Order: sequence, then C-alpha cells, then structure tokens
Amino acid sequence: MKKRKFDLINILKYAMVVVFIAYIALLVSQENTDDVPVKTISQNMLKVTNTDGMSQGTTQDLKKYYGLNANDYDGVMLYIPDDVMSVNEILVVKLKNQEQANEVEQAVKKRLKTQKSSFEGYGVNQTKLLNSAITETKGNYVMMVISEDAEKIFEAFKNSI
Amino acid sequence: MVFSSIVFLFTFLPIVLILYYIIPGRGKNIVLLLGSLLFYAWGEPVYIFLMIFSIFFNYISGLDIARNLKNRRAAKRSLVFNIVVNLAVLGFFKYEGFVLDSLNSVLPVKISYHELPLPIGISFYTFQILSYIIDVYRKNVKVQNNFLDFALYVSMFPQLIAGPIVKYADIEKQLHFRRESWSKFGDGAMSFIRGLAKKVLLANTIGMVFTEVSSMASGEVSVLTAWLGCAAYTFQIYFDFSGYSDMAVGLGKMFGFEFPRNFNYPYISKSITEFWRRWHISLSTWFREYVYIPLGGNRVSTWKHIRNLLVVWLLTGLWHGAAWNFVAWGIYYGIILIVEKYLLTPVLEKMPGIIRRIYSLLIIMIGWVLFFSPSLGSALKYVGTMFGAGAHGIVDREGIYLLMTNLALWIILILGSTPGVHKRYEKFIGRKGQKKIAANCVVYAVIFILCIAYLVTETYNPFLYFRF
Repeated sequence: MKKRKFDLINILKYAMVVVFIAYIALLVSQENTDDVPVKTISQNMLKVTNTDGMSQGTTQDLKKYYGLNANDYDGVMLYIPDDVMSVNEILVVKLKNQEQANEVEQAVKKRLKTQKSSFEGYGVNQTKLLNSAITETKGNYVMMVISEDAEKIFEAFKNSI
Repeated sequence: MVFSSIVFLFTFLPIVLILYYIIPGRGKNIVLLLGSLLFYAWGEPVYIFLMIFSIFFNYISGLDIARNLKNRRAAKRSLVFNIVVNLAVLGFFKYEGFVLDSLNSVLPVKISYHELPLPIGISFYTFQILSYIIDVYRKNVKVQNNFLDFALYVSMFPQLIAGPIVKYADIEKQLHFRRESWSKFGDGAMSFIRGLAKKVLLANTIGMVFTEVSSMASGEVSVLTAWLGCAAYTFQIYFDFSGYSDMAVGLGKMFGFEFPRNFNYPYISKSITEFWRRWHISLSTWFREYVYIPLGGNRVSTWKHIRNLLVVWLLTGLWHGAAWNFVAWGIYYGIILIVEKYLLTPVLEKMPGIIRRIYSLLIIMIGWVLFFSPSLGSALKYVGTMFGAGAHGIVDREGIYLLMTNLALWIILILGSTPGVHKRYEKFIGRKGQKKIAANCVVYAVIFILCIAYLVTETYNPFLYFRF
C-alpha cells in the first residue's frame, strides 16, 4: 500500500477552516459572555455625548413607552426626550437570560415605529434621526440610541462590554 | 474609514501617498498592504481578522489547486472545497438572519439566534477571491506565490469596501509591475475629486429630498411627490455608487493601478439589457463569467437559457441584500431581460431613441422602489401611489415645492447623468498643453474646496453600497 506523504498545504488548508470556525464561535460566544453593570455602560455612553433634549427615564417611563417592567431585568438605562418635539432617546437593557431578548427587541421596534409615525410628514429632522437610529443586541444587552451622536454612543456601548 | 471623510482626505491618504512614493521598488506593495489593513481595521477592528484568515486560507487554496492542475479531479475537489468554505463564511455573516427569520415565519418552532454585524466589504472581497481561485483552476492566471502580493490584491483599500470588483486576471501583472507617472497621478486625482463631488455635492443633497418623501405618511403623498421621491433615489444611488467607483478608480491610478470602469452613464440606456452593460459593470461581468457562461449562457435551449437568466438574476438580487425585496428586485430584472430578449427587442429597435430611453428609465425607477423599500408590501404600495392608487391627488403643494426649490439641482443631476457635460468640458479646455493643465487645476481645486466646505458642516455621510 502506498504510504501517504506529509502534506503541509492540505494540513494548513484544513487548519484554516478550523480557525474560521473557532473565530466565528468566539465572535458568537462574545455576544453572550460579558457581564458589565448597566451603570458602567451608561457612564461610558454619556461621556461621548450630552443629555441635551433628554431626561433620565423612570421605571414608569419604561412601562409607558416600552411596556417593559424594569424589575424583570438585570438593569436598565433609559433617557427619554424632554419635550414633545425632541426624539433623542437612549435605552440599554441588561437581560437576565437570552429568552428575554425577543421581548425587548420587539418593544424597541414598536417604540421606534410609534415615534416614526408620530413625526412622519412634518418633522423632517426628527424623522431623519429616527431613520438613523441604531439598535443592537449584544450578548445579554439590548441597546437603542436616537441621537445625532448615535454612532459615538454606539461605539462607547460596544467598547464597554 | 470612508473616502469622503476629513480624516481620510487630510491624514490617511497623504501619509500613505508620501510613504508609497518615498519607498522604492517592492516596498511600495508593503506600504499599500499595511495602509489597506489599517484602513479596514479603522472601521472593522474585529473583522480585520476575518479578512486576514480569508487571505491565508485562499492563498493556500490557490497553491493547492495549482499543484493539482494536472490531476483535474483533485483540482476540482480542491476548487469545490474552496468555494463551499468561502460561500459558507459569506453566507453565515450575510444570510444567517434572513434564512432563520424566513424559517421561523413558516416553522411552528422558533429558532433563536444572534445575528452578527455584517463585515463591511465582505461581498466584494469574497467575489474578488473567487475570481482568483476559479481562474487559477481554469488556468487563466498563474497561481500567486507571493503571499504579500496576494494579500494586497484582496485587501487593497481603494476598492475594498464597495468595489469595483477587480478580477485577479485584470490586475495580475500590475501587482508585480506598474508604472506611476505625474500624468497618471493627475488623472487619478481628477477622477477622485469628480467622485467626491458626485457623492458629497449631488448624492447627499438629493438624498435629503428622498429622505423627506420617504418620511411622509403614505396617504399624504401625491403622484408627483411619489415620482419625485423615486427620481431622487434614482439619482442618489447613481451618484453615490458611481461616485465611490470614480474615487476608487482615481485612487488606484494615483498608486499606478488601472481598475476597470464600473459605470458608463447607465441612465441613457435604450433598453434594460443595455442598462446592465452600463451599471455596476464589474458585478455583471463577474456573474457573466463565473455563473452565466458556466451554466451554458445563451448557447443552450430556450428554456435552459431562461433558467440561466433567472438563476443569475436571483443571485444578483441576493448579492445585494438578505431580504425578500432584493430577491424580488433580482427576479424583476431577470423577467424583464427575458421579455426583452425574446419579445421586445425587435419592437424596441423600431422605436425612436427617446421612447426607448423613457421606457428604460421607467423600468429602472420602478426597480429602485423595490430596492429602497423596507418590504415588498411597502414597495407595492409606493408603486401604487406613483400610478395614483391611494395617492393624495395628482399634484399637490408638497410636490411642487420639492420640484421648484430643487429645480437647479434636478437640472444638474439630469445633465450629470449624461456624457455631454464631461465631453463639452473636455472640448472647451482643449486637448493638451499648459492651458488644459491650468484649467483643470483651477476647476478641480474649486470643486474640491466646495466638497470640503460641505463635509465640515455635514455629518450625514453614508455610502449606500456599504451595506452590501
């Protein structure tokens, strides 16, 4: 029987496939492993923007605008518009488990939809901000930001966890 | 990092250019490679590793296919393995959410998942890589033994993010040897500034009209407003994407490369077949060479030809996005091209040019509605409004306001979509000599300053094609 030769190219080729799989697994697992308090994330996010046009939301506000109970989660940060013509808003929810992700994501989608339909047709700047809102689920955190500084705030969120 | 950003224009580009021209010989490729990796890592610090792994894997795969070329079965096995891995990686990042969402909507159980953000440019660089791998297998190009040159081909920053999709065969020799010159550098700089102006002055400005229309409640949009919104997007996507391509081609020239042209005034087309020879030429060429022709092209029975066209256009739609409206957009063009090929062409050829152009533009504009709408339902609703169904009258104040306040811009956009302006400008300043150089310097310097003035005051600056 012919003895197989040591084949470096094939070994490297298959090794790279293993690297791809490991890398993707790492990316996916990173979505789930970090455990940072919402307070820390909140502080980091507020460092890159100011809260003009917003005020800190209460648990009642979370219930009123999102239909969510703050006690169901590990932590919540909410900043809401402080007048009827403003749309600036930041929400971070730290989930207790992954099963809660869908519920919070749906609440965020619904809130954005409501805001868009409120400003459609006359609030051009507000609609522009709402259309460029950033929503993200990363591990046990769900985030939404509507702000001119949305990208900076989002970066601060990503870097925090 | 985007080309139309201050940090790119005044920090990154000058530094890379200076280093490129200071360092001699083969060192130039290393400068370009390091610059390209930095450019990508600037916006995608996590996904830079994905690109580097991809470079390693495909470099090795290329070597594997090349050494097996005499044994076609082994070479084919290696080719198939490579294509499966590349498409699996692309598919995971781009289509995971789409596939699982679609399954969840029809299955009784819900498969939970976390969608990772799409790595920027993955569709573009994966297609470039596949062109190399397939051409090595077909013996159209020699395998690249120099790892740095291969890495540069995949990661080169001018066309990394949004094309043009440069086939390896088109650039093979240039990776090894290319000639830089002041004349080429000047042409490249002009092309870059033209692209910047298209993006910053035209696409972004008309984009505001589109944003205004798209933010209106559907019952408040008149027929005129709906058409203006659609026209605004039609111009925005053309000037945005062709602007990016001009910048990419221009940057390539500044570094001594010749990239293929990606747009050739598509809106003057007299048929949809012609439109797709003028729009995103590098993508159409890629699909023709690596999908359509291997399937048999048009040298098969009528039914197989129809199947081939539908497959190619379904894939073209999917390439643009993981959503049903992109699938519909691809099939829409597939069907139109089949109808043109088998029924309409003899009729169209007898018609005056202007009628053919209007026909083409109508089809193209309706196609863009599918493209910009968030869902198929809203696309159908928008098209309905364009033809009066559920519209707020034929003409209303909003429509007249949008038309009249942007009248000069509409005229510039229409003229800018035709080759006439550029031809007349070239004729006006003469063919060669000092007069031409001086005129170009002044004109392009003014355009560049206008772009910068706009960039420092405007933050809303995305490229539409980045999401692909």
